[in-house]
Amino acid sequence: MSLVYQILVILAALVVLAELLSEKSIKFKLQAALVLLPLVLRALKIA
Amino acid sequence: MRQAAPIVCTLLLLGAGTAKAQGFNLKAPIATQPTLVTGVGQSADIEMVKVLLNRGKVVFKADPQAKAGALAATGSKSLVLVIGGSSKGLGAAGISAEVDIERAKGLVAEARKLGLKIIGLHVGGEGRRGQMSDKFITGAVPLCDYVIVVATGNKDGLFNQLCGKGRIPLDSVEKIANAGAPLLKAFK
Amino acid sequence: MELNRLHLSNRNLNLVLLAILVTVCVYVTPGYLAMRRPDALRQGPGVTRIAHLSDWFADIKGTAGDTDVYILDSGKPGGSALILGGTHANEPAGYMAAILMLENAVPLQGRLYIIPHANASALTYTDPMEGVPREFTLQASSGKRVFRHGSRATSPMHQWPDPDIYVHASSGQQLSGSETRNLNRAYPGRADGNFTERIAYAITSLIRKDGIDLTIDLHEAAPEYPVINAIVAHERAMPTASGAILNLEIEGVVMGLEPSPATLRGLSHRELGDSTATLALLMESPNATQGRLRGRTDEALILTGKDSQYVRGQKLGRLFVPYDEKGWPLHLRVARHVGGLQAIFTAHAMNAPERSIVLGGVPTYDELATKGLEPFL
Repeated sequence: MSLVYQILVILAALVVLAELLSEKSIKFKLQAALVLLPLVLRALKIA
Repeated sequence: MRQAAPIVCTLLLLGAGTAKAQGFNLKAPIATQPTLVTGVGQSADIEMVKVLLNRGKVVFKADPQAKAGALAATGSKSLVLVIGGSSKGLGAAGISAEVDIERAKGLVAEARKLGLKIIGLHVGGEGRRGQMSDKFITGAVPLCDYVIVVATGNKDGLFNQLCGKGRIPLDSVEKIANAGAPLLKAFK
Repeated sequence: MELNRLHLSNRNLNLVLLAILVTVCVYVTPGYLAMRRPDALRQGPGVTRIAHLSDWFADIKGTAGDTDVYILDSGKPGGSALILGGTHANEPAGYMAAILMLENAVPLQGRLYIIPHANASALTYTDPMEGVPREFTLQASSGKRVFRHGSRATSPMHQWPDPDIYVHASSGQQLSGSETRNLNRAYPGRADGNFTERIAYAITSLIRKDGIDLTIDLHEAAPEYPVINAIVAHERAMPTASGAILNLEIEGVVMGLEPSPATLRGLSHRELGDSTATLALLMESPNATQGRLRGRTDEALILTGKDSQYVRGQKLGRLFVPYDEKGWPLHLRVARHVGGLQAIFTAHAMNAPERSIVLGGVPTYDELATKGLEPFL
């Protein structure tokens, strides 16, 4: 995975994180958390 | 198999052991070297026959798509047809089954004209039967002077039928490796 | 559901969710990272040197594509052969046969090169959504042995993202984008290509520089795949492959012969045969774990190949190999590969005696089929 794509994944993760923090509905918060999980693992080059 | 049953029973009664001991149906060599090996149906089985001939030190040339016009120039004194269809092989050669059968028939006619003996082999067993391969089998087997088949390819007795009750000598072997012995015996 | 019903402030709920997220990440990470630890392989009595693939192409040094190359040199004149295991790391009989060879074979004539994990990156992860175990265990004579079970293609950690369409460099052939990471679509490879193409280039360089006579790529295929229990051979390798099939038939092992299609590009048997002087062959055995019809996918399936859905598939005439309640156990699949390798070496010796590769210490097909892998690992 090139640095460019790692940066893109980090950016995507930050956007989803912002969504998680600002969202009022718990359902959408949970959805954001689920989307965030693989992005974090990919950004950290774990999975 | 029905015709063979009394012979086998007689041999067993005589204490001759297994059916293998009865030897081959071809009683004397018919073909002269060098020979030309070609495929009828363009299956990879031709490669197996080439190994059998190599191991038996038979002098041969191989051309899976040998044509009638080029037969005389090869200097071959006999012809070996490796019978069995392969859609992949035909596809790779860029020809249809019908075209390949016509080529084989033309080649056999030319061989007859030149006085060459023709040996047919079907070594692909059960996997080399079915609609596609049977076209080549029914087309080529009756044109041969001698036929060798790996037994699993003749479970329904098609080869016996095509060889017409002994009109064309037919030998059946259990494995491809066993086809070497009758094949070599067919050469002078 | 509204927040006030949980009696949690928005801030506190955020903290709870983030804590759960971090916990899950911390919990799953060791499992992922464990797959990057190399399997402990025993150095067999015939191994004279352990090289690295990067010795033939320094560009991959220190990357996840670099991998061990075991060299078994008899010191006596003869030919040379390269055994590739783990081109696809989800085809365990391929790399287990290579491992069994490196741990047991003693070269008597010629030189043998073994790369048990040709695509080492592919062994560092499993395919998402497939539920395939990460490893399997054998109670071997040397003790408990754990072997990783990976994926078909290079890890996305090392090469990502995939293009929509993969264009094979030297032919222009177009394939699905995911094939970009498939080592067996990348040959002969490119020095300046993508990560997988560079691994392929390193293998091609080894073959060229060391003048390898025979290259045998060990694979497995789903039982519903038509090219199975077969040797696929480049046209120049046909006499060797057909001789090997006859040798195997005498031993009672039925193996098919498949000519390498001239129009399917990027595969080892096509490109290595075309672009180097090696005789390129590939072997396939039946593996339910990578098949689409399989049911429960666990370690037992890898080891036994027993699967009721495949038995059903066989009865419906949908398979290209016989399949009954006995399954296709790993040791039988490895036996086919090991027996096939020896049959290939014998056939090669008959065709080119001065380039013979003769090995001692290798269990026979019958020994492996009856005793299993455990006594030899």
